[in-house]
Amino acid sequence: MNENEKITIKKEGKEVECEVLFTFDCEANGKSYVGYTDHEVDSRNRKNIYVSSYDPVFRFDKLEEVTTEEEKEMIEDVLNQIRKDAGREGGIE
Amino acid sequence: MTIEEAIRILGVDPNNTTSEELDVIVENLRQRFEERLHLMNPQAVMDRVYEAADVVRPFLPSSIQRTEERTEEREEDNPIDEQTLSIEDRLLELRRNLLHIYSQEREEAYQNGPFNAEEYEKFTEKYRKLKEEANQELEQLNRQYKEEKEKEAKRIKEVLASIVDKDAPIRDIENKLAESKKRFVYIFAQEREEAYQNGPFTAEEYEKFTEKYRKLKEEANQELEQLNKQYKEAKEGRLGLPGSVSGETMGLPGPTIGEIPGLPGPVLKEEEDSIETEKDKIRTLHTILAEIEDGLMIDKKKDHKVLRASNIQVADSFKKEMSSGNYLYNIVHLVPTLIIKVPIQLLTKLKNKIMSSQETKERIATMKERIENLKEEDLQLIYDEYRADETIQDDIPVVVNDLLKSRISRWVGEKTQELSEMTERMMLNVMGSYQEVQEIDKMLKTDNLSDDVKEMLEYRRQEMIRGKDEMIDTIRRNQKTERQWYSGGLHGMEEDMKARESKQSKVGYRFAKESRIHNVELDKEIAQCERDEKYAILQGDAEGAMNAFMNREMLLSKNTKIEDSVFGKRSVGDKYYSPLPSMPNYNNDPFVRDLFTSMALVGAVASAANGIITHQVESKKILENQNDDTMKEVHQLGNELKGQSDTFAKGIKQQTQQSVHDATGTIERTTLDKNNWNFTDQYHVDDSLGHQAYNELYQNTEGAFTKIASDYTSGALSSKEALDAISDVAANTQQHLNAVYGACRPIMQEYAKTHPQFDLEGALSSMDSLIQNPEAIINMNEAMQRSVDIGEQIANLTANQADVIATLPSDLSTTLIGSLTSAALASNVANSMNYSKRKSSYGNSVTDMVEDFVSQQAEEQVEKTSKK
Repeated sequence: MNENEKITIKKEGKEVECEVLFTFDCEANGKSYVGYTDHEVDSRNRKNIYVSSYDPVFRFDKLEEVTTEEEKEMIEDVLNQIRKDAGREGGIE
Repeated sequence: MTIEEAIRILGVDPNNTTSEELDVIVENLRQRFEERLHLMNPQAVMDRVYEAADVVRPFLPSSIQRTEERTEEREEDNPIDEQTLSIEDRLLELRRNLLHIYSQEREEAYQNGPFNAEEYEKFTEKYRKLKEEANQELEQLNRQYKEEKEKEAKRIKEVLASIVDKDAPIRDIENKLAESKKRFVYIFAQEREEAYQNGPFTAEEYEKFTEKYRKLKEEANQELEQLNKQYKEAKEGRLGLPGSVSGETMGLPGPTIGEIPGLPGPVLKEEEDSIETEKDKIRTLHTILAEIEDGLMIDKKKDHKVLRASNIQVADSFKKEMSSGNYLYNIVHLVPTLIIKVPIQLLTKLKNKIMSSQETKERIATMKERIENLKEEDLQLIYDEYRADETIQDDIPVVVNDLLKSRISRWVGEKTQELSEMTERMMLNVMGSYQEVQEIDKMLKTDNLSDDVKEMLEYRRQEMIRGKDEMIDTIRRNQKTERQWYSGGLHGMEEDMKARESKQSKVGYRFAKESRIHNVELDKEIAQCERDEKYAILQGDAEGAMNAFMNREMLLSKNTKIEDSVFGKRSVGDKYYSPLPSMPNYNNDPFVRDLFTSMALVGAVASAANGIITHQVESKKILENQNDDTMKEVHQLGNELKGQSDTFAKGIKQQTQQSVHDATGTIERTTLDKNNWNFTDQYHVDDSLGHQAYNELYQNTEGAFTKIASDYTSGALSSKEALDAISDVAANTQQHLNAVYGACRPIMQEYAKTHPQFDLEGALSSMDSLIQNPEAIINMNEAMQRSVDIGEQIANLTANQADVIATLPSDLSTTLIGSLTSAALASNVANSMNYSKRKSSYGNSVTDMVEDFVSQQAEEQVEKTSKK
């Protein structure tokens, strides 16, 4: 993954550059996905991660929404996997 | 005890039973009673058996003497003895014979085969007959054997009944007494309830009422008195009673039938079976759930597919951030639009059109205060009666509903708090006692424990157990009552189901990850615990109830798993253990949010249709009256739009163009108002037609959405199907829009031809664009994300206001229509709807909801401001 790649969004009337956090593919539906963020933190100390699907041919020029429940669950699984791999064990209460 | 009584109790024939055989009979009885009759008093039973044995023993011959006598009797061919003594032997012999026939057949086939056809015929016929005869004989004897066993079983039962539990009659009266007392007390409760429901009474009614209850109480009191008397007599009489042996000859059989001489098995097995059957009949929640799910693979998610990711690549910086654990994350699935220029000027115009936020804030603050000051009786009334279709009928604005709901929730919380505290105390009591009993049991197993200590420990054990069945019964009743408070009525249950559907867990927003297949086996286990608990309570078995209670609670707890995730804590187990009932939460459901978005989109389309229709009417009017001043303003707006149109992204473009239509209409309406609506009849006719067309569009749309919402909440549609259905409605609405536009455009074009000084190109092209680019409308969901910039400029709102959706009214379809997350979109719809308010009988509900939504946003602001 090219760590210098950025995605620009419009927020509050201004252009904001977002950092690309991760990408992955899904063979079942033939799509690729990208997660990106502007690093802004809300009052609950949560960051927004935008996740969209994209066509590898056009790269990030043409992003599409994630609409299905299966895709959304897959994205959650990916994020949890990233977290685990990064060395944080999931705690069990 | 007399010899006759002793013989009856033991069922022995002194002439045919030796002393050694008597010992065996007594020992077998002891084992059976200890194993099976644990609910009765086995010691009392055995005391009488031992007593009877002591009485009979001197009359019995020794075993040697008995053997000689038996030999003589056999030689005399005692038919009864032979029949009863040899049935088993004969059965065995017949079985051997039958097997022998098969062996013979096989041997002969081996020796003499292979056969020709005729020989084979004879061979098979011969053995067929032999087998048939042998089988018939065996069958007959088997039947006889079963009959004998049944007779024995019956006799044993009668014996047991005669010697078991002297206290049974007294206990029976005690039970009846308890029941009678309950019924007596219940009459008073009934009386109070009826007085509350039907009172106050007229003099005549009161006379009847008091008379009715006087009679009921009198009868119940008499019954109680009688039972009390019987109880006293029974207790006194018991000291002198000879025991409960009664009836005719009941005796145990001779020591031949069955494995253990003297006692066939089936008697006590029948009793055990009947206990199990009774238990199986008990209905509990998980019994029903398990029955429904049994044998089916229940998929918790309606959309079953599982997608797997591959080739995951992660930026190093993100990995580091993840490992730090400093943040939790929101996942946003909507595409934030790439570079867009927002038409600031038109937004300013929009801002002015929205109702005064300050005024709204003040109204809401007053409303809130009034609701805060509602009396107890009023709150009870709202809670009891403001339900189901009543809420629709009353048509109260959304914001009021929300304030009411908030107040009622607090009120319910106060009511249940005491109950909850009591439940908690009792649960701790039961759990503490259970632990102590476990400890005592361990201690009792140690060696060299003195009798004093043992006695003390056993006494303590009984103390810990005593009354736990009633306590657990009360816990369950309290839990049920609390749940009824939180979730009363069918509607409440629907809400709870929606809360469940929205994947809410109590540890955070939408963090309950769904496992694919529902754990039916676990439900069956829980069902078993529930049945055991209920049965034990019914039987007054405190220890059994306590054990079953703990088993159930532990089972739920063990299967509850909360783990950390990037989104926060979430539930990943098969169950979510919740011993103290609480309010379910369906906030912040992403699916609902997507539905809201889709609803907002179609709302925009409907409002655009309204704009066009209005414009159609206005333009017709314009044609008739040629109001040039008005058209000047339209021209100006058209130019402005045209100037901006090249730089607009499609989504905002449509919205802006729609605003132009609205602005056109607004101007015209204002003018009309000023002129006191002096128009021709034709105008009014056209106006009505226009509104009728709009209303039809809207009604069809809303009707469709209501159905979709209803199907979704009932489970007939999955979330994906619901969204697809809404897309269909949107598409259909678009087609309707096309038809309306088709009628309008020629009018505008005609006007443009005859009035070249006015350039309507901007207005025309915007209408074209709206119709020709339906995907632009669908793409309007970017407003979800962009509500930050637009909303902030209009009403100083932030993206976090989306959380307000969670507090909107509980009716899903109302919520869908009302919950427009984009403030800009909402205000536009509100603006366009304001027309329809004046002329049409419909459209108010949407307008109200949208207005109230905006008000609610403002209310949040008030709260935030006041907190500062």
